[in-house]
Amino acid sequence: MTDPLSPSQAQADLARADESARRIGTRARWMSVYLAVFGVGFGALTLVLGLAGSASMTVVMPLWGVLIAVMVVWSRRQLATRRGTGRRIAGYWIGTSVLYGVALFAGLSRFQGRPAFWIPAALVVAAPLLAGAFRERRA
Amino acid sequence: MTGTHPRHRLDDLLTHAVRLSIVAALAEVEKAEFALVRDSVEISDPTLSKQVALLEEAGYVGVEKGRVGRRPRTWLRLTPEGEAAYRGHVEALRAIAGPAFG
Repeated sequence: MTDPLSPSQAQADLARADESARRIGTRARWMSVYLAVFGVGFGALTLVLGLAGSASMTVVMPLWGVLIAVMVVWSRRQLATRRGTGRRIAGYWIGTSVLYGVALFAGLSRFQGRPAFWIPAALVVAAPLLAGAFRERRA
Repeated sequence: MTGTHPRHRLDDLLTHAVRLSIVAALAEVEKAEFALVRDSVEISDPTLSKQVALLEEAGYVGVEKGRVGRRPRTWLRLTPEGEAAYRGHVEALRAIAGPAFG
């Protein structure tokens, strides 16, 4: 049977629960870093491919592969993930992936080596994942 | 009007402070590794094991064992029943605590 609980005891219980939730929440915010790294990575990839062309592929693609491998291993080592993370971040991944495809499709044939196209394109490609990183930091 | 005091809506299992803290921590995450929950709640391994066993028996927490590389890991996850019980318990606590905690 539940004993009567005073308002001050109830407040103390709520404060304790909030503190535990806050502590674990802080450690579960790693997705912000993950999204930021890939946002910058996709931006850099767009820029290099656009400015240096297909000759850069032999250097850039192995580096990109290493980055993905490192980030996947790092993410698997994380001890908690905030609730609803997968649902929240899907749109950011889709956004950057679509913009990356559009930038390469539109730019490689007509604007190869032209910074006036590729610098803004790189920023636009990176934007969804960087926005996701910012929002996950505050989630 | 029922006139029922909110204390009747408290979940008996969650009136224990440590169990409430464990469940509150798990309510924030999809799942969490045993050691992180232990550190967040600031209790020892045996205490967490004991309380998690009770929560698991009640169907509030799921326990999953696995490995990351060569390291064994134990993951804890709040079940939908556990989440419903936690939400109801917190709502009752807020009602008892008064308007400032509503």
